[in-house]
Amino acid sequence: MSTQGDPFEEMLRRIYREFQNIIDQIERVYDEEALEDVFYERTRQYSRGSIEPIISIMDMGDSVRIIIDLPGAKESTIDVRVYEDYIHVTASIDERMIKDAFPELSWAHKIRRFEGRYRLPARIDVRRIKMEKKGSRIILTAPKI
Amino acid sequence: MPRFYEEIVNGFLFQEYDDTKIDTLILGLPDVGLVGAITAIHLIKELNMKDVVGIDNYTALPPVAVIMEGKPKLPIRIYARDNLGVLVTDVPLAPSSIPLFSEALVRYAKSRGVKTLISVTGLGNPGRIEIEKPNVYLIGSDQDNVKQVSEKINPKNINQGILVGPYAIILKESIRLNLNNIVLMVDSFIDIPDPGAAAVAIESLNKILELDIDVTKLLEEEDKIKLRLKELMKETKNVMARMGKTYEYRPTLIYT
Repeated sequence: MSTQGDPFEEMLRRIYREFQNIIDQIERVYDEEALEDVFYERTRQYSRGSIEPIISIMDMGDSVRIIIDLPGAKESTIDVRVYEDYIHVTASIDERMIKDAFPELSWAHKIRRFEGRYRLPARIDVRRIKMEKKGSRIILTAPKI
Repeated sequence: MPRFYEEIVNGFLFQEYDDTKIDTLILGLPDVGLVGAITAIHLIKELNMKDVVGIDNYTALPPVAVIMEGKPKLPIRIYARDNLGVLVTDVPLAPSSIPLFSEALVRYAKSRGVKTLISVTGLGNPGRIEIEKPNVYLIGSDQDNVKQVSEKINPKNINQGILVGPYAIILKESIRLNLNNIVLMVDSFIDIPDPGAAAVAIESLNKILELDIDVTKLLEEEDKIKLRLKELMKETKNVMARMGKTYEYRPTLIYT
């Protein structure tokens, strides 16, 4: 059955379109807010000569797994401090690696270290933490309290 | 750049710079582990491809012009050589612009005579750190074609699941417009750039398209690539969370 020309159907379509426009506008505001956060975070870090490590935090049920990737970090300078509900990571970065990765960005050449502090999804037992290193990645697994 | 042809689809401008014909277009949109993006960058460099199409939308994308070798470029670009195209983007697509862009891309590809779209992406695996050689998975718009490609790359079966993001819309729109689309997925880290997974994707593309692309350099330069792409990964992680990527980690409603 064709509903073309039905004024009620047309009205519903218009309402739906308007509703969709409002949703799109709300989503754009959220997009902009997320970008604003990234902008402020980045400029704050860069002005301190640091960049954030690459980090992945996974809630594995009974435990929390944290993968910290520090490509180009000087091994002897890696400092990972684990607390019950957050971790703090610092490491110096090989200057050549920075120049190699960002040859076109002169400001990036002033970056000297990784630094980041991350809240964990649950409190962990720091005495039973297990650590493993694979290439540039440090893997920490700790049971939840 | 001199324009050869222009088309606007869903508000997205597709600007062609010459008469290059593309039969197969590989899509390297930023997604899980940036597998598609890393794959695309490596292909472009190894095959010495040139950019033949620029894509932009002044309202749906950030107002950027990308400068490369002193020349301004559009933020989304298609590079090509010998009828093979590769799509990359310098900015992640905002969740609100993903549906329109994905639909526009398929419609443009269809209208310009592209025969096959190959979507390359990571399949986020929380156990990736323990996997030495990531598995390859394959789905597609045409089941006969999926069977043919499967014989070449021997993928792991994926019978049920939910695909989320631009590749989901590209797949559905390809089915609707009768365009061949295969989605190549590789086990990968979820939110860490994964050149190892991209190397596996390239090895599969070598078999599918009879290419001979070496991945040694990609693996040797892993640290540099991760450092260079870490900020794109962070932006992409935000987008993935907001476009409902978590649906990929729950079972489907109906199961067998």
